[in-house]
Amino acid sequence: MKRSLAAFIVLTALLSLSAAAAQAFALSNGLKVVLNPDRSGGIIALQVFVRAGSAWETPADSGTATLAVRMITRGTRSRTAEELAASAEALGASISAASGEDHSIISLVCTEKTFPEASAILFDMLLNPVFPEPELSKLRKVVLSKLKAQKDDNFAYTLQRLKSRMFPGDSYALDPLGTEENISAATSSRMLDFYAKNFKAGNMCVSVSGSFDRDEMLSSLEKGLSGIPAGAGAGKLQSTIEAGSEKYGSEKMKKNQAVVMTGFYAPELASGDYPAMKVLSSVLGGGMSSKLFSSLREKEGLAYSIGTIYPSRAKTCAFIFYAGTRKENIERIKQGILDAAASAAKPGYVTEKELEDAKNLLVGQFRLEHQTNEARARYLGWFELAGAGFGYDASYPEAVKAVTLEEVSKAAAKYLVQPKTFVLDNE
Amino acid sequence: MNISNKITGVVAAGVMLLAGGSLPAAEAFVKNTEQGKNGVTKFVLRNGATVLTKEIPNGLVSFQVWFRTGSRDEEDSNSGISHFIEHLIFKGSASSGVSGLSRLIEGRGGNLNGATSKDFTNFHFETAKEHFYMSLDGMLDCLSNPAFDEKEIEKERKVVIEEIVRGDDDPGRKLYEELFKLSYPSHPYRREVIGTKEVLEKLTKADILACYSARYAPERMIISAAGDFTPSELIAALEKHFPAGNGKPLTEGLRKKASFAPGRREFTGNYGQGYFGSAWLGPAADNSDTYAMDLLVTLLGSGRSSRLYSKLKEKEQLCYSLEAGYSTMRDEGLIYITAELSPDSRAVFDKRLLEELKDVCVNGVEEKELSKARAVLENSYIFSHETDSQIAGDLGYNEAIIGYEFGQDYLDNVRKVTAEELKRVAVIYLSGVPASVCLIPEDK
Repeated sequence: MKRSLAAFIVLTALLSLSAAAAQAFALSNGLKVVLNPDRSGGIIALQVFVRAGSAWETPADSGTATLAVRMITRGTRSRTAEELAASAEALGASISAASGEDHSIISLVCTEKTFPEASAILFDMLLNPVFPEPELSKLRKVVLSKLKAQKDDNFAYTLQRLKSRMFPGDSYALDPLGTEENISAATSSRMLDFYAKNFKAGNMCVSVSGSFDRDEMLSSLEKGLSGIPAGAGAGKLQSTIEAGSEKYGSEKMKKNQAVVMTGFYAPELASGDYPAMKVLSSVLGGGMSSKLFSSLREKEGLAYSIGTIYPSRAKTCAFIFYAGTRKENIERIKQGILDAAASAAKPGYVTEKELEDAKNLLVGQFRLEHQTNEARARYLGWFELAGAGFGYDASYPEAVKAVTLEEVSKAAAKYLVQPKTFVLDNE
Repeated sequence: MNISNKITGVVAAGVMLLAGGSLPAAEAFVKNTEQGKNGVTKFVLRNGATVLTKEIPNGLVSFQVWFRTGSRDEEDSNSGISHFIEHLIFKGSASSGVSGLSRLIEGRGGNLNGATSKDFTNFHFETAKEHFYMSLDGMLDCLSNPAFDEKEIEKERKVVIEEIVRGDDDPGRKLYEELFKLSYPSHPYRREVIGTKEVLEKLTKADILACYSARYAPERMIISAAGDFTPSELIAALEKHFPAGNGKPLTEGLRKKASFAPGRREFTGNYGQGYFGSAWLGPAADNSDTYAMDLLVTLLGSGRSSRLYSKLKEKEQLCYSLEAGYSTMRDEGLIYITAELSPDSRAVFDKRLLEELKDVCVNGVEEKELSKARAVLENSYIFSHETDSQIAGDLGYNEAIIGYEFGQDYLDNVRKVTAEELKRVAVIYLSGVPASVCLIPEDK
């Protein structure tokens, strides 16, 4: 018999969507949980979102989230890091923890059968972490090596250099991995402070997708996570970009390929301009039929990897054109990108057919991505945490379909100004 | 013989589509049908192609075309031609135009891509079920009537050279390629799939046409589809694209015995850290040791509590990351252990790695360890079969390498493996001297 929810769960169906199965509830401590039951696959993906990451850091504590969130899985009051890993792996469950810019995620993927035991391990990690110094010492070395190895990934290296130039004075300039100085100096006590500050019900959100019964899942989450202290969230991220960053920067390195990236300031996920900017990104650099791919790769053969990136963020972020090319093509690529950006707002540059194709691509990819429970849980949690609400997962396709040519043109005119370019050049 | 006719009815097929011409009887097209497990159906066409289907009522379809050909079938003189042809297929058919296929599929919300490996070449799309057959017609048109336009060949040559250059900067790729080069003294697995800039610059349209004609034939072709469609309708749709009549059996290139050469190589470059890898020759896909080998590499290096990861990375801190893998290939693939580490640690890491492997060979593994590895492997298999694309990919890949039944029976066979068998395969495959490669930062 299913357990009754009545006594201990503040069963608040915050929003029920007709188009999707997802519903949100609040546990007794105020922790918001979004549930998307789907009995078909036998898999359960549970993601714990925490409003913590490099976007909430300053140069003085940059990198703390990277260490602290990973340390969550490395020791509790009753189990060592080795015991935690061995017990999860004995179940075949996957538990991982990572922090990015706007948020951090502690994730569990397991089968319906192993969920009771696997979730108990996850809940222990979330409620009873001890941040043991020997484990922190090991993790420090790994993160320091990752900092050194950044230059081994041309694309990631260039992206971080561009962002540090685009966002002076703003947390988006910070490297989510932190700095060598901060990582080297991190202590267990700093990790505990981070945990106490961020792991509060009001600062978190849990999303679950997969094979489960709604009431049983609520009961399990209440039992496992109501011990997380109540407390307000971190509030809304604020942009603090200082004026005066340079339009162009470059760095020479001993490499075979150059990378060109040009960024523009772009609106946050909760902005009304967000759907039009997503469509603009799809038109310009979203696939093999995009304008940038057609012109600079198909017609001129200048690049293999080329396109645009417009990440969904909680505050003013970067809309980025990118291309990997050889030294002799750098100027042609730079100009091609600037031409595309400058033309985007002009009447007739984007045709009705291109608009429809770009919208179909966005909506189609979104649907294809939602085939895994991990992705479904990720979208629900992220939309909720970023301020759009988990219901945006159901309404996003309609928002995209409603975008007009005029809106795309206006968005291009408003945002594709003030280009900032960074080039990783060959020595 | 007209190249295109080797795969499809070429122009005639297009005319039939437009005219809605009458279809040949199904039995004249399908040689036999076989019902597999878990709703999988296998159709063998009279022209030699194989079709594998799995219905999943989810509104989407993944359609994949696999060819049993890749860099394994190349020579030094045309190294990279399979990958180049894969690129050129996406440059369109005689009638579609250069971006016609991508516009057709992406403009309806689907995605498409291709991949070339040592044993296979693959083309695929995923889309909503209402656009399935239109997308299928577009992809098969490009595969059967590729334009291979001279000007487009020249442009795409530049793109592939960019891809080669990009890969040259990737230490992970460099390590993998150097391990293959060192391990295989003569087998074609030694060559890079992408080829070399020098060879690519010399490949002519005639080379491309000759290779396409010889190798992209129905007897090498496998079509796998998973999602929301009816197999009989798919067969009818394929029938429009294929000429009636019997194909020839695939007689060449099925198996090439690989030999192995141990050795050591070091490369210095502009790296931020050291990259180390050791490789041994593993069982080929048709060897029943593959299940034990998959379990052994899982036990050694999958997960934080796995044997090598917990000892060499977590306890002894000799590396920053560690991975163990085994490539199940048509011929003998590689078993490899790779690590990111400080160059100062590489000698100790290498020594300790060999000691740990020797321990497995001498003392075997505990039942508890095997049980954990089995759970990790079984669940990772389940987690990687959630999407239509993953399911169709599994059918197509297995059929191209060894037979689709391999995937159908995989978990049952993994469950049968004993601790004694793990020890046995460790002795057979991991007790010898490996091929080892290390990439070292130039300031070290």
